[in-house]
Amino acid sequence: MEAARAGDQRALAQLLEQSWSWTYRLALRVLRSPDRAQDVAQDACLAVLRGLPRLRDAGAYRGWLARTTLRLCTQQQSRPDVELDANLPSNDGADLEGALDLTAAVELLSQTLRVPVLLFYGLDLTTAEIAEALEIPDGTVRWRLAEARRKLRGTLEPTCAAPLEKTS
Amino acid sequence: MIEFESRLSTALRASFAAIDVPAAPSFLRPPQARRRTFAALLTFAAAIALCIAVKAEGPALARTFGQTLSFFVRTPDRDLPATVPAISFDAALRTPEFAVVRPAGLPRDARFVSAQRFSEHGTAPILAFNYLVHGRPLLLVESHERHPGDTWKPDPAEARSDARTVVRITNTCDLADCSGQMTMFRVGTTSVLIAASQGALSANPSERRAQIARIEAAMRHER
Repeated sequence: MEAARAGDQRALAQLLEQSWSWTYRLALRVLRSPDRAQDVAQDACLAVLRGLPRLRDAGAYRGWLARTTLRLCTQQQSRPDVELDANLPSNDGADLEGALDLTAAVELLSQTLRVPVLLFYGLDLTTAEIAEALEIPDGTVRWRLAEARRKLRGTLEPTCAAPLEKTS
Repeated sequence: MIEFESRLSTALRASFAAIDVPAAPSFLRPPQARRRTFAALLTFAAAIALCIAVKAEGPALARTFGQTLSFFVRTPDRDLPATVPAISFDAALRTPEFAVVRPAGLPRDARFVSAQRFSEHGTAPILAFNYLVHGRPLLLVESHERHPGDTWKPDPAEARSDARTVVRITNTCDLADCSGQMTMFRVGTTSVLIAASQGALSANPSERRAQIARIEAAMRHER
Protein backbone atom coordinates (compact mmCIF):
# COMPACT_ATOMS: atom_id res chain seq x y z
CA MET A 1 0.00 0.00 0.00
CA GLU A 2 2.70 2.47 1.03
CA ALA A 3 4.81 1.57 -1.99
CA ALA A 4 1.85 2.11 -4.27
CA ARG A 5 1.20 5.48 -2.72
CA ALA A 6 4.85 6.36 -3.17
CA GLY A 7 4.57 5.74 -6.88
CA ASP A 8 5.89 2.19 -7.19
CA GLN A 9 4.21 1.07 -10.41
CA ARG A 10 4.52 -2.62 -9.64
CA ALA A 11 3.00 -2.19 -6.19
CA LEU A 12 0.25 -0.07 -7.67
CA ALA A 13 -0.52 -2.70 -10.28
CA GLN A 14 -0.67 -5.37 -7.59
CA LEU A 15 -2.94 -3.25 -5.46
CA LEU A 16 -5.22 -2.62 -8.42
CA GLU A 17 -5.35 -6.31 -9.28
CA GLN A 18 -6.35 -7.16 -5.74
CA SER A 19 -8.85 -4.33 -5.62
CA TRP A 20 -10.33 -5.40 -8.94
CA SER A 21 -11.05 -8.91 -7.68
CA TRP A 22 -12.28 -7.71 -4.32
CA THR A 23 -14.61 -5.05 -5.68
CA TYR A 24 -15.91 -7.29 -8.45
CA ARG A 25 -16.83 -10.03 -6.00
CA LEU A 26 -18.54 -7.63 -3.64
CA ALA A 27 -20.37 -5.85 -6.43
CA LEU A 28 -21.50 -9.12 -7.96
CA ARG A 29 -22.94 -10.27 -4.66
CA VAL A 30 -24.72 -6.96 -4.18
CA LEU A 31 -25.90 -6.37 -7.74
CA ARG A 32 -26.19 -9.97 -8.98
CA SER A 33 -25.19 -8.78 -12.43
CA PRO A 34 -21.74 -9.59 -13.85
CA ASP A 35 -21.87 -6.70 -16.31
CA ARG A 36 -22.81 -4.16 -13.67
CA ALA A 37 -20.27 -5.63 -11.30
CA GLN A 38 -17.55 -5.12 -13.89
CA ASP A 39 -18.61 -1.53 -14.34
CA VAL A 40 -18.48 -1.00 -10.60
CA ALA A 41 -15.10 -2.70 -10.26
CA GLN A 42 -13.69 -0.60 -13.07
CA ASP A 43 -14.97 2.63 -11.59
CA ALA A 44 -13.81 1.61 -8.12
CA CYS A 45 -10.30 0.95 -9.41
CA LEU A 46 -10.29 4.33 -11.07
CA ALA A 47 -11.34 5.81 -7.75
CA VAL A 48 -8.36 4.03 -6.21
CA LEU A 49 -6.05 5.61 -8.75
CA ARG A 50 -7.46 9.01 -8.09
CA GLY A 51 -7.95 8.74 -4.35
CA LEU A 52 -4.89 6.82 -3.24
CA PRO A 53 -2.67 9.89 -2.85
CA ARG A 54 -5.25 11.44 -0.56
CA LEU A 55 -5.75 8.38 1.62
CA ARG A 56 -4.09 9.29 4.90
CA ASP A 57 -4.46 6.03 6.76
CA ALA A 58 -3.50 2.89 4.89
CA GLY A 59 -5.40 0.88 7.47
CA ALA A 60 -8.60 2.53 6.33
CA TYR A 61 -8.18 1.32 2.77
CA ARG A 62 -10.57 -1.62 2.90
CA GLY A 63 -13.32 0.39 4.52
CA TRP A 64 -12.82 3.18 2.03
CA LEU A 65 -12.82 0.77 -0.89
CA ALA A 66 -15.95 -0.92 0.39
CA ARG A 67 -17.70 2.42 0.78
CA THR A 68 -16.69 3.43 -2.74
CA THR A 69 -17.85 0.11 -4.14
CA LEU A 70 -21.17 0.20 -2.34
CA ARG A 71 -21.77 3.77 -3.42
CA LEU A 72 -21.16 2.74 -7.02
CA CYS A 73 -23.46 -0.23 -6.53
CA THR A 74 -26.16 2.12 -5.31
CA GLN A 75 -25.72 4.21 -8.43
CA GLN A 76 -26.03 1.10 -10.54
CA GLN A 77 -29.15 0.03 -8.67
CA SER A 78 -30.77 3.35 -9.38
CA ARG A 79 -30.77 2.40 -13.02
CA PRO A 80 -34.02 0.79 -14.09
CA ASP A 81 -32.46 -1.81 -16.36
CA VAL A 82 -30.30 -3.71 -13.92
CA GLU A 83 -30.66 -7.33 -14.84
CA LEU A 84 -30.27 -10.20 -12.43
CA ASP A 85 -28.05 -13.14 -13.10
CA ALA A 86 -30.09 -16.29 -13.13
CA ASN A 87 -27.26 -18.17 -11.44
CA LEU A 88 -27.50 -16.13 -8.29
CA PRO A 89 -30.45 -16.57 -5.97
CA SER A 90 -33.05 -13.87 -5.95
CA ASN A 91 -34.84 -12.80 -2.83
CA ASP A 92 -38.09 -12.70 -4.70
CA GLY A 93 -40.48 -15.42 -3.65
CA ALA A 94 -38.59 -17.13 -0.90
CA ASP A 95 -38.77 -20.73 -1.96
CA LEU A 96 -36.81 -22.62 0.63
CA GLU A 97 -37.53 -26.09 -0.58
CA GLY A 98 -34.67 -28.39 -1.24
CA ALA A 99 -31.10 -28.04 -0.11
CA LEU A 100 -31.03 -24.52 1.15
CA ASP A 101 -27.58 -23.61 2.31
CA LEU A 102 -26.29 -20.68 4.24
CA THR A 103 -25.18 -18.80 1.18
CA ALA A 104 -28.58 -19.02 -0.40
CA ALA A 105 -30.18 -18.00 2.87
CA VAL A 106 -28.01 -14.90 3.00
CA GLU A 107 -29.26 -13.96 -0.44
CA LEU A 108 -32.77 -13.96 0.93
CA LEU A 109 -31.95 -11.26 3.46
CA SER A 110 -32.84 -7.67 2.73
CA GLN A 111 -29.95 -5.65 1.40
CA THR A 112 -29.77 -3.71 4.66
CA LEU A 113 -28.88 -6.90 6.48
CA ARG A 114 -27.19 -8.77 3.66
CA VAL A 115 -24.43 -6.26 2.94
CA PRO A 116 -23.06 -6.18 6.51
CA VAL A 117 -23.13 -9.98 6.57
CA LEU A 118 -21.24 -10.20 3.29
CA LEU A 119 -18.66 -7.70 4.45
CA PHE A 120 -18.21 -9.18 7.91
CA TYR A 121 -18.32 -12.89 7.27
CA GLY A 122 -17.39 -13.04 3.61
CA LEU A 123 -14.73 -10.37 3.30
CA ASP A 124 -13.53 -10.21 6.92
CA LEU A 125 -14.10 -6.53 7.45
CA THR A 126 -14.34 -5.41 11.04
CA THR A 127 -17.50 -3.80 12.31
CA ALA A 128 -15.60 -0.51 12.42
CA GLU A 129 -14.65 -0.87 8.76
CA ILE A 130 -18.22 -1.74 7.87
CA ALA A 131 -19.45 1.27 9.79
CA GLU A 132 -17.04 3.38 7.76
CA ALA A 133 -18.17 1.75 4.53
CA LEU A 134 -21.87 2.13 5.21
CA GLU A 135 -21.51 5.46 6.98
CA ILE A 136 -23.48 4.25 9.95
CA PRO A 137 -22.57 3.87 13.64
CA ASP A 138 -20.67 0.81 14.75
CA GLY A 139 -23.54 -0.14 17.05
CA THR A 140 -25.92 -0.19 14.11
CA VAL A 141 -23.62 -2.56 12.27
CA ARG A 142 -23.55 -4.90 15.26
CA TRP A 143 -27.34 -4.75 15.54
CA ARG A 144 -27.77 -5.55 11.86
CA LEU A 145 -25.38 -8.48 12.12
CA ALA A 146 -27.24 -9.81 15.12
CA GLU A 147 -30.57 -9.36 13.37
CA ALA A 148 -29.22 -11.06 10.26
CA ARG A 149 -28.01 -14.01 12.31
CA ARG A 150 -31.39 -14.25 14.00
CA LYS A 151 -33.19 -14.27 10.67
CA LEU A 152 -30.76 -16.74 9.15
CA ARG A 153 -31.21 -19.15 12.02
CA GLY A 154 -34.95 -18.77 11.76
CA THR A 155 -34.82 -19.41 8.03
CA LEU A 156 -32.49 -22.35 8.27
CA GLU A 157 -33.98 -24.03 11.27
CA PRO A 158 -36.42 -26.23 9.36
CA THR A 159 -33.68 -27.64 7.19
CA CYS A 160 -30.46 -27.15 9.08
CA ALA A 161 -31.27 -27.39 12.72
CA ALA A 162 -30.13 -30.96 13.01
CA PRO A 163 -26.75 -30.56 11.29
CA LEU A 164 -26.06 -27.42 13.28
CA GLU A 165 -26.83 -29.19 16.51
CA LYS A 166 -24.55 -32.06 15.57
CA THR A 167 -21.56 -29.85 15.10
CA SER A 168 -22.05 -27.73 18.20
CA MET B 1 -23.92 -19.19 18.10
CA ILE B 2 -20.18 -19.26 17.59
CA GLU B 3 -20.45 -22.46 15.63
CA PHE B 4 -23.19 -20.96 13.52
CA GLU B 5 -21.06 -17.90 12.83
CA SER B 6 -18.15 -20.10 11.91
CA ARG B 7 -20.28 -22.00 9.42
CA LEU B 8 -21.63 -18.75 8.05
CA SER B 9 -18.15 -17.32 7.64
CA THR B 10 -16.86 -20.47 5.98
CA ALA B 11 -19.80 -20.62 3.60
CA LEU B 12 -19.56 -16.99 2.58
CA ARG B 13 -15.81 -17.01 2.16
CA ALA B 14 -16.15 -20.06 -0.04
CA SER B 15 -18.87 -18.41 -2.07
CA PHE B 16 -16.72 -15.33 -2.62
CA ALA B 17 -13.74 -17.47 -3.55
CA ALA B 18 -15.86 -19.41 -6.02
CA ILE B 19 -16.74 -16.30 -7.99
CA ASP B 20 -15.03 -16.35 -11.34
CA VAL B 21 -13.44 -12.94 -11.64
CA PRO B 22 -13.04 -11.69 -15.21
CA ALA B 23 -9.75 -10.29 -16.38
CA ALA B 24 -9.13 -6.75 -15.33
CA PRO B 25 -9.08 -4.06 -18.00
CA SER B 26 -5.74 -3.63 -19.67
CA PHE B 27 -4.81 -0.60 -17.65
CA LEU B 28 -4.98 -2.69 -14.49
CA ARG B 29 -2.80 -5.52 -15.72
CA PRO B 30 0.53 -6.31 -14.10
CA PRO B 31 3.43 -4.10 -15.19
CA GLN B 32 4.93 -6.34 -17.83
CA ALA B 33 1.64 -7.02 -19.54
CA ARG B 34 0.42 -3.51 -19.41
CA ARG B 35 3.66 -1.71 -20.12
CA ARG B 36 2.81 -1.20 -23.75
CA THR B 37 -0.64 0.02 -22.90
CA PHE B 38 0.76 2.36 -20.29
CA ALA B 39 3.32 3.66 -22.74
CA ALA B 40 0.61 4.30 -25.26
CA LEU B 41 -1.56 6.00 -22.70
CA LEU B 42 1.24 8.11 -21.33
CA THR B 43 2.27 9.13 -24.82
CA PHE B 44 -1.31 9.88 -25.53
CA ALA B 45 -1.61 12.04 -22.47
CA ALA B 46 1.55 13.87 -23.36
CA ALA B 47 0.68 14.28 -26.99
CA ILE B 48 -2.83 15.51 -26.83
CA ALA B 49 -3.46 19.00 -25.82
CA LEU B 50 -6.90 18.43 -27.05
CA CYS B 51 -8.86 15.96 -25.06
CA ILE B 52 -11.17 13.23 -25.91
CA ALA B 53 -14.53 13.51 -26.84
CA VAL B 54 -16.51 12.91 -29.76
CA LYS B 55 -19.88 13.79 -30.88
CA ALA B 56 -21.84 12.32 -33.67
CA GLU B 57 -25.35 11.36 -33.83
CA GLY B 58 -26.15 8.83 -36.24
CA PRO B 59 -28.88 6.95 -37.87
CA ALA B 60 -26.24 4.53 -39.06
CA LEU B 61 -25.05 3.95 -35.53
CA ALA B 62 -28.60 3.67 -34.38
CA ARG B 63 -29.17 0.97 -36.94
CA THR B 64 -25.99 -0.70 -35.87
CA PHE B 65 -26.64 -0.74 -32.19
CA GLY B 66 -30.33 -0.27 -31.96
CA GLN B 67 -30.19 3.12 -30.39
CA THR B 68 -28.80 6.54 -31.07
CA LEU B 69 -25.30 6.91 -29.84
CA SER B 70 -23.57 10.16 -29.25
CA PHE B 71 -19.90 10.88 -29.44
CA PHE B 72 -18.22 14.12 -28.74
CA VAL B 73 -15.12 15.78 -30.00
CA ARG B 74 -14.33 18.73 -27.84
CA THR B 75 -11.24 20.45 -26.65
CA PRO B 76 -10.80 20.91 -22.92
CA ASP B 77 -10.10 24.60 -23.15
CA ARG B 78 -13.46 25.38 -24.59
CA ASP B 79 -16.85 25.59 -23.07
CA LEU B 80 -18.35 22.20 -22.81
CA PRO B 81 -21.99 21.32 -22.81
CA ALA B 82 -23.23 20.78 -19.31
CA THR B 83 -23.90 17.15 -20.00
CA VAL B 84 -20.34 16.44 -21.07
CA PRO B 85 -17.84 16.04 -18.26
CA ALA B 86 -14.71 17.97 -19.03
CA ILE B 87 -11.50 16.02 -18.87
CA SER B 88 -8.67 18.46 -18.54
CA PHE B 89 -5.27 17.77 -19.93
CA ASP B 90 -3.75 18.26 -16.49
CA ALA B 91 -6.12 15.76 -14.99
CA ALA B 92 -5.29 13.31 -17.74
CA LEU B 93 -1.63 13.69 -16.95
CA ARG B 94 -2.22 13.03 -13.29
CA THR B 95 -4.28 9.96 -13.94
CA PRO B 96 -3.38 8.80 -17.40
CA GLU B 97 -5.25 5.57 -16.97
CA PHE B 98 -8.48 7.32 -16.68
CA ALA B 99 -10.46 9.13 -19.00
CA VAL B 100 -10.25 6.79 -21.92
CA VAL B 101 -12.16 4.24 -19.96
CA ARG B 102 -15.42 5.78 -20.89
CA PRO B 103 -15.24 8.93 -22.96
CA ALA B 104 -18.11 11.28 -22.56
CA GLY B 105 -21.00 10.39 -24.75
CA LEU B 106 -20.43 6.68 -24.93
CA PRO B 107 -23.44 4.78 -23.70
CA ARG B 108 -23.30 3.21 -20.29
CA ASP B 109 -23.18 -0.19 -21.87
CA ALA B 110 -19.94 0.63 -23.63
CA ARG B 111 -17.24 -1.37 -21.95
CA PHE B 112 -13.65 -0.35 -22.38
CA VAL B 113 -11.56 -3.26 -23.59
CA SER B 114 -8.19 -1.84 -24.49
CA ALA B 115 -6.31 1.06 -25.93
CA GLN B 116 -3.92 0.73 -28.81
CA ARG B 117 -1.50 2.93 -30.61
CA PHE B 118 -1.35 2.49 -34.32
CA SER B 119 1.10 5.00 -35.62
CA GLU B 120 3.07 8.10 -34.97
CA HIS B 121 2.32 10.80 -37.43
CA GLY B 122 4.08 14.05 -36.86
CA THR B 123 3.82 14.70 -33.15
CA ALA B 124 0.47 13.07 -32.66
CA PRO B 125 -0.15 9.39 -32.23
CA ILE B 126 -3.18 7.75 -33.64
CA LEU B 127 -4.87 5.85 -30.88
CA ALA B 128 -7.77 3.51 -30.87
CA PHE B 129 -10.02 2.47 -28.05
CA ASN B 130 -11.75 -0.84 -28.20
CA TYR B 131 -15.18 -0.97 -26.71
CA LEU B 132 -18.00 -3.38 -26.48
CA VAL B 133 -21.34 -1.71 -26.97
CA HIS B 134 -24.28 -3.93 -26.23
CA GLY B 135 -21.92 -6.84 -26.63
CA ARG B 136 -20.78 -5.75 -30.06
CA PRO B 137 -17.31 -4.41 -30.78
CA LEU B 138 -16.78 -0.77 -31.51
CA LEU B 139 -13.39 0.63 -32.28
CA LEU B 140 -13.05 4.31 -31.64
CA VAL B 141 -10.04 5.70 -33.44
CA GLU B 142 -8.98 9.05 -32.20
CA SER B 143 -6.27 11.44 -33.09
CA HIS B 144 -5.55 15.08 -32.77
CA GLU B 145 -3.17 15.95 -35.52
CA ARG B 146 -1.19 19.04 -34.74
CA HIS B 147 -0.15 19.76 -38.29
CA PRO B 148 -3.17 20.80 -40.31
CA GLY B 149 -1.20 20.60 -43.52
CA ASP B 150 -0.79 16.89 -43.03
CA THR B 151 -4.36 16.11 -42.30
CA TRP B 152 -6.85 14.36 -44.46
CA LYS B 153 -10.37 15.55 -44.73
CA PRO B 154 -12.34 12.47 -45.61
CA ASP B 155 -13.92 12.47 -48.99
CA PRO B 156 -16.67 9.89 -49.30
CA ALA B 157 -15.47 8.47 -52.58
CA GLU B 158 -11.87 8.38 -51.46
CA ALA B 159 -12.81 6.90 -48.13
CA ARG B 160 -14.76 4.14 -49.77
CA SER B 161 -11.69 3.16 -51.70
CA ASP B 162 -9.75 2.93 -48.47
CA ALA B 163 -12.23 1.44 -46.09
CA ARG B 164 -14.11 -1.72 -46.83
CA THR B 165 -17.56 -0.49 -46.00
CA VAL B 166 -18.12 3.13 -45.26
CA VAL B 167 -21.19 3.50 -43.15
CA ARG B 168 -21.22 7.18 -42.73
CA ILE B 169 -19.15 10.30 -43.13
CA THR B 170 -20.42 13.34 -41.42
CA ASN B 171 -19.50 16.73 -40.15
CA THR B 172 -20.54 16.97 -36.56
CA CYS B 173 -18.12 19.13 -34.69
CA ASP B 174 -19.20 22.72 -34.44
CA LEU B 175 -15.92 24.15 -33.30
CA ALA B 176 -14.74 26.88 -35.62
CA ASP B 177 -11.29 25.46 -36.18
CA CYS B 178 -12.27 21.86 -36.28
CA SER B 179 -12.91 19.97 -39.45
CA GLY B 180 -15.10 17.69 -37.43
CA GLN B 181 -15.33 14.88 -39.85
CA MET B 182 -16.10 11.41 -38.78
CA THR B 183 -15.66 8.36 -40.84
CA MET B 184 -17.35 5.21 -39.90
CA PHE B 185 -16.81 1.93 -41.61
CA ARG B 186 -17.18 -1.70 -40.90
CA VAL B 187 -14.63 -4.43 -40.87
CA GLY B 188 -16.40 -7.70 -40.42
CA THR B 189 -18.83 -7.22 -37.60
CA THR B 190 -16.91 -4.38 -36.03
CA SER B 191 -17.83 -0.78 -36.55
CA VAL B 192 -14.89 1.56 -36.77
CA LEU B 193 -15.40 5.19 -36.05
CA ILE B 194 -12.62 7.56 -36.95
CA ALA B 195 -13.13 10.83 -35.22
CA ALA B 196 -11.09 13.72 -36.43
CA SER B 197 -10.85 16.99 -34.66
CA GLN B 198 -8.27 18.19 -37.10
CA GLY B 199 -7.84 15.12 -39.20
CA ALA B 200 -7.39 11.60 -37.96
CA LEU B 201 -5.60 9.88 -40.77
CA SER B 202 -2.64 10.75 -42.89
CA ALA B 203 -3.09 12.94 -45.91
CA ASN B 204 -0.91 10.56 -47.83
CA PRO B 205 -3.15 7.91 -49.47
CA SER B 206 -0.67 5.07 -49.22
CA GLU B 207 0.11 5.88 -45.61
CA ARG B 208 -3.58 6.19 -44.91
CA ARG B 209 -4.25 2.78 -46.38
CA ALA B 210 -1.45 1.41 -44.24
CA GLN B 211 -3.04 2.97 -41.17
CA ILE B 212 -6.36 1.36 -41.94
CA ALA B 213 -4.64 -1.95 -42.58
CA ARG B 214 -3.05 -1.72 -39.15
CA ILE B 215 -6.44 -1.01 -37.64
CA GLU B 216 -7.85 -4.06 -39.33
CA ALA B 217 -4.92 -6.19 -38.21
CA ALA B 218 -5.33 -4.99 -34.66
CA MET B 219 -9.01 -5.76 -34.77
CA ARG B 220 -8.32 -9.26 -36.01
CA HIS B 221 -5.83 -9.62 -33.19
CA GLU B 222 -8.41 -8.45 -30.70
CA ARG B 223 -10.80 -11.12 -31.86
